Amino acid sequence: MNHSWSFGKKIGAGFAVIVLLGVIVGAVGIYALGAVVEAKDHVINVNATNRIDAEKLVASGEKKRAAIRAYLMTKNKEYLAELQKDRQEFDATVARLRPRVYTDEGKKIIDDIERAEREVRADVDRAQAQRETNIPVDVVVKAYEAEAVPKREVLDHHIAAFTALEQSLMERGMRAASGLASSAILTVIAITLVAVLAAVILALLLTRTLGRQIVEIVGRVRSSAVELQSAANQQATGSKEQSTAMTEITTTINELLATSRQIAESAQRVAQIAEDAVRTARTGDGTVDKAHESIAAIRRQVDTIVGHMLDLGKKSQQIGTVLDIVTELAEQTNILAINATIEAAGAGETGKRFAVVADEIRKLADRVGSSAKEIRSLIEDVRGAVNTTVMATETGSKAVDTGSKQFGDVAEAFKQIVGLVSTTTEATREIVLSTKQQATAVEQVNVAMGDVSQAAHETEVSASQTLQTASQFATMSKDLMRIVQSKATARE
Amino acid sequence: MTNDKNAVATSVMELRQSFDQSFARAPQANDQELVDLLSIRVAGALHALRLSQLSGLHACGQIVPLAGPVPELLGMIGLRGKIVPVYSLRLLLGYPAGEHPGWLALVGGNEPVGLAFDGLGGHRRIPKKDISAAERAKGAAAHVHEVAQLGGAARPIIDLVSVCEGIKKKGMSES
Repeated sequence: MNHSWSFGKKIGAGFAVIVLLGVIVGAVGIYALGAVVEAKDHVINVNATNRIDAEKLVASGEKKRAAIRAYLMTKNKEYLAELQKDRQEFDATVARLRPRVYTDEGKKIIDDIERAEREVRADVDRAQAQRETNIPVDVVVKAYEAEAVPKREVLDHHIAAFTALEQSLMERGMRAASGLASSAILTVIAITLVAVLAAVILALLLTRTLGRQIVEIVGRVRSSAVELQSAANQQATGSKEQSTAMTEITTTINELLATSRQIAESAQRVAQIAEDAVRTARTGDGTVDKAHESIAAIRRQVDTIVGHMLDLGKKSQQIGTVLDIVTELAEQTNILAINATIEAAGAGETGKRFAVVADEIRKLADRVGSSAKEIRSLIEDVRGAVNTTVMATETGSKAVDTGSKQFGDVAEAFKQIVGLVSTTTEATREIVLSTKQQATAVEQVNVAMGDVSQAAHETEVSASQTLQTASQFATMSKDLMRIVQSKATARE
Repeated sequence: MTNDKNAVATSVMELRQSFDQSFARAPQANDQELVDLLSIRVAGALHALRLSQLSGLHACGQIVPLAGPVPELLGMIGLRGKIVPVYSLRLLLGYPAGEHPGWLALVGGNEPVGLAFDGLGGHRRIPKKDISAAERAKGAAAHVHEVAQLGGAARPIIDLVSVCEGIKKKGMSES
């Protein structure tokens, strides 16, 4: 049986099977009863009626015989009327019999009866006609007896045969109907037994299945009851811990409330300081603008210095060119003095004074050359210093540019700082407001926590009740399991 | 800056006083005989010439080369309206040929000969006792007969008379 079916469905299915078996038993009984009734009806309607009609034929024959005998004896016309009426009754009976006769033998006997009746009826008519003449009654009766009696005996014989046949058929039909009824009774008994057996098997199967499922479910219920008991126990413990924790939380929230009030006061002071910072930052913004202008002026002065230094370098270069001329002149003078010395030496004693002059000129030229070298060295120093100064000045100019740019960035940053300080002030005000709201909210939370603490206490009480109920439930499930298992054991 | 200015003024003052005193002093008799030398540089080596053997000193201008068998003869140069043959002192002293000479020393009276050399060190006047005779040698030192002490170092003195004789000998042998 399908495990997914519910108990009601399984029980309903069992009852449906039993009802179906009952219906089958009833249907078989009704069918057998109908067959028996039909067989009995056939016996009653056909065989018994034919039997009765056969007796009627016998009676009609006797009546006709009595009527013709009476006529022949009395010559009374009323007997002829009776005879005619009996003939009609005889014919009507034969006419009713013919369609009901279903055996060939019966149909043949009916034909024999009609043929014998016609022969008898011809003898009767002849006797009737002789009676109406002047033939004596004894002769007529005697002739009638001689001719008609054998034929009437034949007719009686046929009627008797028909009666016996119908009697036989009726008895046979009755036996067949009785046999059919017995068979139907046996069939109904057999099917009933089968239905009872099936019902018993079904009941056993249903009981076993449902019992097993109930045992399983009761086992689960018991396990759930134990788990519920454990959970209720944990819930009770947790509720106690929750109650303790709520007490601690309430204490902490009170401290938090005090801290929030302190924060609100501190935020108020921060807002005041931030407003002072905004004013100071705006003053500093103007100072930064002035400093920016001063840096621009320094930048222009540095450019001027660079220009002057470049001019100084060019002048030094021109001085070097002039000094080259001086150096060249000194060398020429030196050579001239040497040549003068040579010439003076060639002039002998008269050239000595000239040699002194030439020597002094040469010394002078040497000193001029030395001084020119010193000047060149100094000029080189000047040019080096100029180059160094120009480079330093250009570096300084770049540094001023960088400083100017950085100062611009500083100014921009300062403006951003002013904006940020303003934003900070605004945010601080919002913090003050929020902190006050927070303090109010904390107070509300404190009240709510008191309610929650009360609820936790109630939860603790409820958890204890739940634990008690779970224990009862576990006991009940254990009892139910014991009952079900004892039944199952007994059934097994 | 002020110190540099004072140093220059002091130097100018000393120069002026030295110049003036040289003409103010009476001509002094030479306590010791002095020799005038001309310091020169040939092929990177410092030498000296006796000023008394020179007839002139000039910067070496454009030399017009001459085709001939004497490699020491660099060519001809014009000096004050005269055509002067120029010989390479490097080649005459046996050094390898070098760059264009910068200076020209004239030797000889009416028909001077130019001796080209590389660099000029200047005029030097030293006592005669600082000059000593050199050992006879061949090659580059063939024309060096004396050595002078200049600046604490021995400086070979090129004998221009010997050089001129060598030139003459070379010219006669070539011809």
